[in-house]
This record gives sequence, C-alpha cells and structure tokens, in this order.
Amino acid sequence: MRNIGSLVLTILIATSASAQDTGQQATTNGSSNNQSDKGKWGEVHGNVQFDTQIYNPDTAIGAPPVPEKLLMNGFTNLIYTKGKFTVGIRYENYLNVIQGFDQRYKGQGIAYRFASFDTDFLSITVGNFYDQFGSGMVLRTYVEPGLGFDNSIDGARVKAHVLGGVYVKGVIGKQRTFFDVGPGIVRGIDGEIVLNETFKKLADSKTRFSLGGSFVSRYQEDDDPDFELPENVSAWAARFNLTSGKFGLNGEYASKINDPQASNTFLYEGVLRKNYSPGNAVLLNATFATEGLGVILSAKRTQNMDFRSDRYASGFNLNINYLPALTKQHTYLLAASLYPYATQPNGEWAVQGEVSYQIKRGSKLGGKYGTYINVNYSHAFGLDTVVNAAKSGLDASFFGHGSLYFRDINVEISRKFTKEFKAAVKYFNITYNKDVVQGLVGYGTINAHIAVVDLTYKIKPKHALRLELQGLFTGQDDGSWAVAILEYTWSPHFFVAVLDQWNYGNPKEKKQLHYPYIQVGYTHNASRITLSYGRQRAGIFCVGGICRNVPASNGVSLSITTSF
Amino acid sequence: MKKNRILILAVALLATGGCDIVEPPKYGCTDPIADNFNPEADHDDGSCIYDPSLFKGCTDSTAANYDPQALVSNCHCIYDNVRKILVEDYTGHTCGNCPRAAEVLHELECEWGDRVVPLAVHVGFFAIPEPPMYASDYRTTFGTDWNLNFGNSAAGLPNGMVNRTPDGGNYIRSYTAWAALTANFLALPAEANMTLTNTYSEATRTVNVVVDINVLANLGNGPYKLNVVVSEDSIVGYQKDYDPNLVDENLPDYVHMHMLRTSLTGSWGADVNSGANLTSGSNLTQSFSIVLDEAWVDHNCNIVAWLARDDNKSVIQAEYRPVIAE
Repeated sequence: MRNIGSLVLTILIATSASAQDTGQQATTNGSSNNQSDKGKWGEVHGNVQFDTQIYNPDTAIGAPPVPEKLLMNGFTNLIYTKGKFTVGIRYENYLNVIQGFDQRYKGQGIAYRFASFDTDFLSITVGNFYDQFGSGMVLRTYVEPGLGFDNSIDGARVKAHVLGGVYVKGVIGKQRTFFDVGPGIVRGIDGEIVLNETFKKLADSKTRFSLGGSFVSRYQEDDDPDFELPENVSAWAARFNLTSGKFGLNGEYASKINDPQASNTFLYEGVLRKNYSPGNAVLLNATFATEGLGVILSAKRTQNMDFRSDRYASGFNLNINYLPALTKQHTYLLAASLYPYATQPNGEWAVQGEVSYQIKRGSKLGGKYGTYINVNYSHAFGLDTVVNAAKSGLDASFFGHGSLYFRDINVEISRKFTKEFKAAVKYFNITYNKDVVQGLVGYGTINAHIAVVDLTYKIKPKHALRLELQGLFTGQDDGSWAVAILEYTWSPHFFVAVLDQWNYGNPKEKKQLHYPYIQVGYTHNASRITLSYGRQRAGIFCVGGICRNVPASNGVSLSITTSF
Repeated sequence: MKKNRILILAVALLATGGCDIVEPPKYGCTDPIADNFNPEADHDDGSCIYDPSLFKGCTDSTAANYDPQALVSNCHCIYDNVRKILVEDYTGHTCGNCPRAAEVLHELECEWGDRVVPLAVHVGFFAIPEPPMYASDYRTTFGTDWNLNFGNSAAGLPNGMVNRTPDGGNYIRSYTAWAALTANFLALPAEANMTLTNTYSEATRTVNVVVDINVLANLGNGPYKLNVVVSEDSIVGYQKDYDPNLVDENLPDYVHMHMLRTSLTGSWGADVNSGANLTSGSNLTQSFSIVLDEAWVDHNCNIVAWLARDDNKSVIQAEYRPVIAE
C-alpha cells in the first residue's frame, strides 16, 4: 500500500538507470501458456493503463511551461486465446509524451503484436516477443512502461522440448525502437539441460542440477567510410544452476567479441577512439534458506558488455542484453530516487550480501507476532583499466579494481506489536559516485545516511492509518532532505495520502523548498483510479555519457488502470 | 517426429550467425608530408604536425577552390554542383560530453569541406544560463521549436541530425553515426543546386540574401520550404568538458562554432514555388534580408540555407556562405 511513493516514483524512477527491473516482463504473451480453452469462442483478456498529467509552470522548482499543458501516456494490451493459439496486440498512445520519458515515443499506434501456437513439444511465436537467455547477460527483452523501456524482438521464436530435460529455443528478429525497429538483426539460440529430468536415477534426488548455454549474434551493415567494423557481433554464455536442500548455487559466464559502438568509445590523447576490445561478464550467486533464515551472496564482474542491435544507439535504446545490478532496489522514496545505482556495462566489480531473519513468534525477542530483520550490503567499484593504444581498446586485470562507484549498507527491523499496530525502522548508509553513475564531473562521491520509520495503525477493521517519516542526511550535493507521508486506507476501495519532501539542508537557501503532494485513489476489483496534485522534483537521467533532464513539475495527474 | 526435431535444431543453428573479429585501427598521423607521419597508421587522429612554412589551402583537386600550390589542407574546400547536407549538432554549454560531438563535426568539415553544412543548436536543460560562469543564453526560439518537435534534448545530449532525414520516425542520430551517414548521403547525386549571394552593408549591418535554386530532379511529396538562418562562428565562452585529462571541466575560453543565432524564415521555412512540387530544370530565386544583432560579430556570421520537404522536414540540399565574402 505504498501508493503515493509508487506514483511519485513513476516519474522519479525514470531518473534511475538502475531501475531496469522486470516487473512487467512478459506480462502479455508470457501469460498465454496457461490459458485453457474456455469455450467455443476462446477468451479475451488484457489490461489498460492511462497516465495523464496537467502541468503548471513553477519557477521556484524550475518547472517549465509545457505548451500542450496536458500530456498523456497510455497503453492497452488485448490478448485472445483459443486452445493452443494466442494472438495479441498492444496499442500505445503518447499524446504527447509525459515529461521525463523519451520524446521519440510521441504519437500512437500498435507497438506490439504477436501470434503464438503451443504444443507440448513446440511453441512458436511470430511478431513481437519478450525472452531471456539465462540471467540475461547475452539476451533479454522486456517492457517497462514506467521507464519508457521496450526492447521486444519483432521476428520469430521457436521453443522446443527436445528430449527429457532438454530445452532449446531459437530467436531471430529486429528490436523495437519507439514505433519502429532498429537496423540490426538479432539471432540467438539457447539450450538448457535439466539433469534430473534427463537421467531417471536423479529424478528423485534432492540435488537438482541444470546446465545451459547461449549464443547470440547481431548483424548490422558496416556503413562507416573510415573504419572496419564487425558486422556480425557474437556473444555467448554458459551457465549452471545447482540446488541441494537448503543450498543453492548458480553462475553464468558471458563473452562478446569486438564491438566498437557509441557507448564504449574512449578518449585518449585528445582523440575519441573506437573500442575494439572484447567484452566479458561473470555472475555468481549463492543462497541458503531455512525456516526463518535466508542468506544470499552474489558477485559480478563486467567488462565492456554493452550489447545493442544498433552500434550507434545510446541510452535505453536497442539493448540486446541485460546486466543485473547487484544492489538492493529500495522502495522508500529517498533511498529509491535520490542516489540510485545503475550497472556500468563498460566495467564494474560488484558484490552483495543479504541476511534476513524472522525471529519466532512468541519468543522473548520476537514478541507475540514475530519480528523480521534484514541486513543488506552491496559494493560496486570500477575496473583498473588501462588504454591499449595498439589494439585501440581498454585492458583490465581480472581482480584489479578502480574507484568506488557505490556502496549501500542497510538494515531493516519490522515488528507487529499488536493486532492493530505494526512498525518498521530502516537505516541506509549510501556512498554514491555521482560522477560515474550519472556521467558527470565535479560532483564527487556523496555519502548519505537515510533513516525511515514506517508505522501502521489499524483504527478499526478495514480502516488503517500509515505514517512514514524519512530523513536523508548529507552535507554534500543538495544537502539533507526530510519526507513525511500520511496515508489513510479504507479497504478495499479508498485511500488518501499526503506527502511532503523538504530539501531543508540545501546549501542554496532559495532551494530549501517543499514539494507537497496529495493523492486520492479508488479501487474497484481490478480497476484503480488515482488523482494526485503537487510538486515533483527534478532529476538528471544519464546512461553511458548521454544525459537527459527530467524537469521538475507541478500539476494534477490522473492515473487509470484496469485489467480484464 | 524425430525428423522434425532435427530439422528445428538445424534451422535454429542456421539462424544463428557467425562472428567477425576485425583488426583494430591504428591511430596516428597519416599525412606523408607531416613531420610526425606514421607509416603504420591507417586512421588519422588529427595529430599531424607540419612545418609552418608549408602552404595551406584546399588540397582536393575536385573542389572549386582547389589550390595546386597547397600542400596542407586548410579544411576549407568549396564545391559546386554536388549534394550538400545539413549536419546539426544539438548541444548546450553545460553539457560536458558535448565537445566530443563538436569535434566529430569539425572532422567532417575537414574531410568534406562545404559539402557538410554545419549548424550547432543550443537547446534544453544544458543550454539554460547558469551565472556566473555560464551566463550566456545561446538558445533561440527556432532552436527550441526544433528541439520540441524532434525531441533532441529529451533524448539526451549530445546528439544531432543528418539532413533531418527520419529513419522510422526517428531523426536523432548519435554523433558516432554522423560520419557514416554523411558518407552515405554524399554518395548520392544532388537533387537541386543552391547558391547563396550575400550583400552586406556594414553601416546598417544589413545582409541581403539571394537564394538561387536549380532543381535537378522531379521532386514529389511537396510542398517544399526554404529555410534561411544565421549562424555565428568563434564565439568564445564557457563550456563544460568532461575530458578526463582536463584539470577543470569549466573551460572559460571554449570556441563555439556554427551557433544558430536566428532564422529569416521562421521555424519551418518559407514557401517555395507556391507550395507546388518541384520539377527538374526549374529555377527559383528568393530574396531575404536581415539586420544583424549588435552582439554578433559580423565577420564571423554565416548565412545557412536548406531546401526541405514540409511534411517530414527532410533536407534536399543545403548551403552556407559567410555574410562578408572572404
């Protein structure tokens, strides 16, 4: 029920390159597999989302006048299933594009359509589709409307269950870019063998083991008059997944051949040079889970792994692969939106550890309803790269590391005290290299402490009041912030929330501003209408040296979502 | 059934292409007459150092101003009766990665002479004046209109457009793509020739511009618009530059080139041929006039013109000439 946070974040998360999360992945055609034939005429389902904002100029926060005054993003998914067949479309409209999203979406049209046919052995899709090989380090396509991200492949996909425990899929197509497709052709094949299914002896084993491998190649014509550029750029990956009782271990190694492109150029002796180095990435995750206790340890090293179906693309455009960020995605406003981390595809070492523990109900420490503790630590730093002028590229030793990019230590304790009252406290210590993450110079590395208190009180059945107090404390950058949110929910239909963000510690006195916001919502079954009014902060949104500004805004917004 | 499976595997394998590992370029000075000529280099990095006594001029024998005496290129060749394209650099003075795009544009000018018609348009967040250092306002209402229409600053600066030609509705091109696009466009024959004749009165600071267009092909998809704007070179002012070798990223003496100052024809150009399609062989002449702003250095000002389709704004032919003939 963190409603207000989520809506404010709709725009603000757009400032977070790290938020390439997968919430909406394959919500459209992925769900088709489980559809049963519900009668002679098949079945139609889908969902709709409309986000509209009316803008007022606000010189205090630097919100510019918007010529259209009203902007709207919307999409509608419509899926028809009959037996083994599924067809679907998504109509999108950006009239005009809401601020903070890429203006190249301006317009409307059918941005996604597909037809698929499923049997036990084969699954064939033509048109647009979303897919992922392994952890996604060589191929992952997904849609995230909140970020204005969609890199679906428009082409064909065949999935086959070849033998017991052997799964193969092949994809070919071009990727979506706004209302068109990119110039490169993506070809990929992925195979996975689940040993417990292949070998009968292992069928009942508590130890589950699978191996997988992928190969992806992109073709794009070399039209550069001055350089010889690889037209077929290939990447491959190998992975394993082992679970045994409470333990789990999985890992993947990926590699890519030389791929000089817009995002990996480097400046050497005053000349911008194309980078002909190969790339690679390795990811390792270990987990332990038992009743009440969970432990996760992860490590990742990435070097020159930005992979796109257009070598000239930048920003969130035409990415073929996805490099997971080994940092916790926070949901509380200040922790989520001020200093969010983005994986640096050109080079990074990252480690993460997390322990969560549920203290038993009824124990002295756990109290009557139990207590939950979570400790998370993540750390990312650069590679120790040196220019290899002879090969026009960058070299880096495997274990060497460069400057700190990001560090986050956070602790959460939550407890339900009575039937009516529960509370959570959180502390975050975030160190953020603003220059590297946002592609800027001169801001340096910022250290901030964030504290959150989240209290929920059930006044009577169906009526709950929630108070959230947040503080971000730093003497750097824009200084300290305070946030207060008060939310009243009358389930299942109504909620109202008021929020204020106050930049009380801004070194510029004129910028010690309040950003008040009010939101009311009505929910009925699968439909929700929310109406909001207030100020939203500005932010800079940078990826790979390309930056765009998400202007501050002031106005009314209306959001409608429904599914059927 | 088994056959099917083998067939599918074979198709999947065939669909998956091979890979091209290529030799990286060897950067260095590729001009044999330079003092630091590197015979192993295959890509010039602009590092050539010349004996200052060597004569500079246009070294391309196909150019109208080819100078057989010239040994070193002055990056200033002028051509007649060929396709010329508009290359726009959308930029801002607080955009620290933008000098990289300006460098690419300069390289293109050196390589192609006046077949590349350069224009730098300061737009968006990074062009907002930020006193005390970044006090200048280089924005124009016309540049702002283009920026809103094409979405440049929202897509992230630096970026630009080559001949305003859309590829699937997308006009915006990374500066790393400009060289290839420029070569592709300039390989095409011209569809119209355009000449600019500027007459300037220093007393009144008035420029009279006569644009002559000679149409060489039957051009459908009308109407067409003629755009005439003023650009100014060599404006010295602050620019942010994220070159890691710099001690301070705020460069006080940065030389801004080709900066859009104003338009004589509004944001989207003046009517050509009363909105009718253009047919091969037709000659059109149009005149314009403007008084230069006091703040602009007249010797550094250029008239930039381009003929474009009105529907999708794509450029047919472009040209530029200094206000005061050299």
